[in-house]
Amino acid sequence: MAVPDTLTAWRTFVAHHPAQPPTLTPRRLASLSPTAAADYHTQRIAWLAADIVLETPHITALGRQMRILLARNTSYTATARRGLALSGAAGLGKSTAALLIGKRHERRMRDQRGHDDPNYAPVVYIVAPPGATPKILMLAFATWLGLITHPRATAQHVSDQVVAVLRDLGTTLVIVDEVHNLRTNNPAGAQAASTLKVFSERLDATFCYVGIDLPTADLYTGDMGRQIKARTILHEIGPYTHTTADGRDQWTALILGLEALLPLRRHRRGTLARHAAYLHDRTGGSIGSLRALLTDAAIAAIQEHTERIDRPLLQSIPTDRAATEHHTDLQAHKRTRPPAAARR
Amino acid sequence: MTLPPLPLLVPTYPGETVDSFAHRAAATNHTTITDIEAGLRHQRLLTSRARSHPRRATLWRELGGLPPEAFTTPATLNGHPVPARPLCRHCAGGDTVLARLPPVGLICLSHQCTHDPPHSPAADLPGVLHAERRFRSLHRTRELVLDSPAMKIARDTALLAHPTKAATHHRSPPLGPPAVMIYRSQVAIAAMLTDNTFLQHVCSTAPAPHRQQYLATRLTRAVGANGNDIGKALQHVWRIVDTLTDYLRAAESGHRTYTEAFHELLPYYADRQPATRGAPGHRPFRI
Repeated sequence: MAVPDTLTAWRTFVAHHPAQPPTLTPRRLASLSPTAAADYHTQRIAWLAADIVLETPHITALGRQMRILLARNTSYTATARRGLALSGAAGLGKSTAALLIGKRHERRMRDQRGHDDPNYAPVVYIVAPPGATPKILMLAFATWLGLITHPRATAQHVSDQVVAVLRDLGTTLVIVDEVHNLRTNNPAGAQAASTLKVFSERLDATFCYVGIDLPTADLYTGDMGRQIKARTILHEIGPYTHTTADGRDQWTALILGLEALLPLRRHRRGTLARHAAYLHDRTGGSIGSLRALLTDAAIAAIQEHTERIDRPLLQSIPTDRAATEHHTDLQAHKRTRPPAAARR
Repeated sequence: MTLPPLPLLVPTYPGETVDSFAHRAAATNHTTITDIEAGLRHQRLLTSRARSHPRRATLWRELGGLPPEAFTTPATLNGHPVPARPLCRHCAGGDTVLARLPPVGLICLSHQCTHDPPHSPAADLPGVLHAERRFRSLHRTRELVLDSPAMKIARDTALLAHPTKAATHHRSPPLGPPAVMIYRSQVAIAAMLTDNTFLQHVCSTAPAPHRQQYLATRLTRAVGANGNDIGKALQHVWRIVDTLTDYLRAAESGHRTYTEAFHELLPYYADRQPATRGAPGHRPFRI
């Protein structure tokens, strides 16, 4: 499923419940017709590629923080509401976490208000467009909502319309992803950031900003940055470490959690735990890279009928460029490092 | 490409026009039809400015998340225009809704008031409610619509038959309470005018006094025998049926073309049943 870039797509995303296909016994699988077997493989691959999010410590902490913020922001206030900023390097699951927060909030609110109201949208999720001007930023909101604006409408006009519609829709959470795209070192970008700030003040909603390395991003610098910093709680997402006992435990728990989702007939659960260090070397502790590596390996195991993931299979699966660079750097570091005896 | 629906949806009503729906949908979404259609033209999704362009209806259906049946009520029925009229405000949930309702007359039977402003109550007028039921029955059997020539002739005749109500009528909006007061007679006269037996009698080769006598009897029965002076009404209908008779006689010797609105009564004389009666697409209206 692509990024939910419209309100309709968002509702589809929220309503989507991926179903884990059953793990068939070899005899049961052998009894399937070629078409049925192909369908079964397709179901398993779809399950592997689905938006399944594990309850990691980051997710737990974020969910808790967001619940606190949302509860506080329900009360009446004439000043700006506090928001949440989600920062970290690429591939660490920021967007996934933000989408999950939004999905859970929407489900919680709809449980309270009913699921059939088409004029209710508690969550808005937009991606800040690169090189955004105030009008482009506001048009991103309008387009996401499905509003059609006059081609000569001003940013103020579009902003007024979007605010009025969001108030009517009862929106309480606005997620702005890729917020690092707002460059405040040029006048248009600075105006766009300013527009976003004013926009957030006009809505009775909690704002969640998601972006790469936000403390050093343009949005967090200058006067505007100081104002935004003063109103947001920064939550940093970093890679998993493998240097401490706690870090190793968390990393292993993550691997076991992902392994439990693999619908492979011959794969014994728990076998990937012994490859935890290797997987950390391969992925740099990035949950996104780990997920991609295990998913690709599982798909290969299905397509090649091995139905299990082992070290040789993992070795044959390439990872994303960032993880590969990390792995290459690590190997080079190990080669150039003097032996322990020599160091002593 | 299908457009995503507008974020704030509004319900549509049977027979509602594109303009009426578009106005409500745009207002609910804090914008205007002009702005939305300018945006659609800018995206090359709408290429014509014509309000009757079919693409316009399609786009508004998409924007409203409506089924393909929306905005398909025909603007004419058997050549008679079916103008858009305001819907009863109770049916429209307080909104101002313009709809084409061929099977519906003046009265909303669900809420017992007039469809047109000022939505006068009709609950205490059982004769009017009965007239509305009769009109709907006539629509089913004879495809009579509120703005058909038969109903217009009937209205004029009813006004002549009820001079007191007519005087009030000239001081009031055409569809105000006076229109309601003469509605019972109007429907009864329309039923008479579109009755094949009636037309066969009054347009027959019998002597004029006999035909006039028959007309007077039927008209008195239609407008009610409560001391109304139906002289002018009688003259009005006689002039029409007499001209119609002349036309029929002339038609026997050669081709004649329709020149008067009341020639629309001819199909009823010939006992021709409307071809579209009972055709698929006639949705029941519960208004």
